[in-house]
Amino acid sequence: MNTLQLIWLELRHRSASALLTVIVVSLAVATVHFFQLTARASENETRMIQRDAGLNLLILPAGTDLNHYWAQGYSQQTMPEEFMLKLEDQQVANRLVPLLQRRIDVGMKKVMLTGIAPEVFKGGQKKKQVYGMAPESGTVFVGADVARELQLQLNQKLQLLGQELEIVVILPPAGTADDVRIYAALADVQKLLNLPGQINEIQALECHCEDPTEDPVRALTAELGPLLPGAKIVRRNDLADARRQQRLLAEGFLAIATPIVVLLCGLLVAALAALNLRERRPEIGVFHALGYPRSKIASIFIGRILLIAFFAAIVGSMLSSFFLDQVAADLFKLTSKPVVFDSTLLLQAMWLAPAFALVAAALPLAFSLSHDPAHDLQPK
Amino acid sequence: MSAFLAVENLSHSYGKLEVLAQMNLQIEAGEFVVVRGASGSGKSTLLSILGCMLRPSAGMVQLKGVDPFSLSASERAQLRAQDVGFVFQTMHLLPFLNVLQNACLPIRADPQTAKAMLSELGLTDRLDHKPAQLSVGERQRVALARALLPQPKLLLADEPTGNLDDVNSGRVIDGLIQFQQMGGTVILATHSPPSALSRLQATQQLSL
Repeated sequence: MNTLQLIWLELRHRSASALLTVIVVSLAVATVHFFQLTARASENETRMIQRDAGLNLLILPAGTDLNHYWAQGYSQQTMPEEFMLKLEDQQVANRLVPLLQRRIDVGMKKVMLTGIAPEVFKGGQKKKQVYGMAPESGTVFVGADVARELQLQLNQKLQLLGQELEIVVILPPAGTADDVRIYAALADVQKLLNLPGQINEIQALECHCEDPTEDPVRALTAELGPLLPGAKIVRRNDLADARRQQRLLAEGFLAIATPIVVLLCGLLVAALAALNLRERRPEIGVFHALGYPRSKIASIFIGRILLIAFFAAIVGSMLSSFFLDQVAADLFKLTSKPVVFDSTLLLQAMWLAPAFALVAAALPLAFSLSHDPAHDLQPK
Repeated sequence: MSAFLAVENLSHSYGKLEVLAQMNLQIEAGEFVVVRGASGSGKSTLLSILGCMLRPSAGMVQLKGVDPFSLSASERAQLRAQDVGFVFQTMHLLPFLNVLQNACLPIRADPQTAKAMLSELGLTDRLDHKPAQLSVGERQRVALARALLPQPKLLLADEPTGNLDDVNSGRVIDGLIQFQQMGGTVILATHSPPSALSRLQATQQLSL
C-alpha cells in the first residue's frame, strides 16, 4: 500500500478529526490574514487621513519676511515658477503645489486671491490629485464667507482686478482661511497681478524620513537648499510631527503585533500536529514492527500534516478575504477595495502553514523514530 | 552462539526497575518456545528485544548469527520485514484500514495470498470490514494473518489469546502450530495456565 493511499484512508476514517483540524488551521490562517490585511488597510487609511490633514511644508521666496507672511498669509517676494521643475527629482517633498497669492479688494471686502496649479509629484509619480484645486482658466472657486458677504452666486461673473471670471464653485464653509479666499488658475492670477512666470509659495508634503532619529528640518534643508538658492523652507511642525508620530506608532505596532499573531497561530497549528502525532504513536510502532523504513513512516505522518495545512491555508485565505469583504467597506472607507484580496498572502500561507506544521511535527516524529519502537506500542 | 536465536547475559531495566536479569537462551529454527510469567514479569520486554524492537540494557542478542543491535536502524527494519512477525495481545490493527488492507500492510504481503489466508482463518466475508466492526477473535485472526503473510522465520506472539474465548484461542493456537509445522520458529508469551495450552507441544518452556 503506498503512502498516499495510507494518508487518504486515514483522513477518510478520521474525517471528523481531520475536518476539525482543517477548521482550526483555517481559522488560524484566516486570523493571520485578516490581521495582516486589516493592518495594511489601517496603515493606508491612516496615511490617507493624515494626507488629508494638509500640506506641512512651505517653500517661500528668498527675502520673505515671516512676520508679514504669518500676519497677511502670503509672501511679498516671488520666485520663478521654474523652481517647480527643480523639485521633481528630490526625495524629501512630494505633492508640490505652486501658489501665487495677494490680498486684494473685491467690492468692499478684502479677500485673498490665490492662483493655484495642479499638484506635481516627485519623480513623475502618477497619483490622485488631492491638494491642487486647479480651477480652469477663466473660472474661480469662491470661499463660503466671500460668497455670503458679497452675495455671489454660482455661474455669476465676478470682476477681479478689471477682469471678468466665472464662479464655478462656491466652497463649503471650512472654518479656515479658505472661507475668505478666491481660487483662480495660476496663469490667470499671474496675468492679473502682472507677475508672469512668478509664484510666491510652494506647498508640499514632507516625505517619510527613513531614519526616525534624523532631524527632519536638517534633512529638508540639506536636500532642498541647493536646489532653491535663498528660498525659505518652513516645516509646519504641528502637522508634520503629528503625521510622523502617528506613522511611527502604526508601524511600530505592526512590527510588534504581526510576528506575535503569526507566532500564536503557528503554535496552534504546531500543537495540533504534535497532538495528532502523539495520538498515533502506536501506529508508528506497528509500522516499525512490520519493518517499514523510517523514511516511509515519516512520509506517512508528515504527508498528512502537510496536506491538511496546505488545504487549510487555501480555505483560511478565502475565509479571511470573504470576511474582510463584508466588513472592509465599513471599516476602511478610503482604502477598502484595494486590500480585500492579496494573492501574495495566499501564497505565503500556502507554504507558511505547512512549514509550521512540518516543524511542529518534525520534532516529535524525529523523537518517535529515533527511540526503540517498542515504546510506541506500550500501553499509555 | 550458532543457534537461530541466542541471547547471552541479557538484562533490561526501565529506570531502576530491572525486568530481565542475566538471561541466557538458545533457540533453534523450527522450535516452539513458550514463555510463561505473570503480568509485568518481562515477557513483552523479552519479545520486544528478540524482535529487534527494543535495545537491551545489557547482554547480547543474535538472530541468525547477527547482532541486530549492531545494525543500522534501516538494516534492522529490513531484518524485521524479512524475518520477524509479531502478534500482539492488543492486535494493533490500523483502525482506518479494512481487514484485507490490514493484512496486506506488511511490505512483502501479496493481496491474493492474503485473501487465501484470511479465508482459511474464516474471514472471507469480513474482508471489507474495519477492525471496529469485528469481534475480538476476528481481530486477532487478522493480526495473525498480517504477521504470517510476509512468511517470517520467527513469529513472536505476545499474549495472543489473552482476550479471547476458547474457540478463538484454539484458532489462533492452530495458526501458530501450523506456522511451526511449516518450519517457522514461534515464541509465545502467555500467562495462561499450562492446561489452557495443552495442545501445544512446546520444545522449550521458560518461566519469568
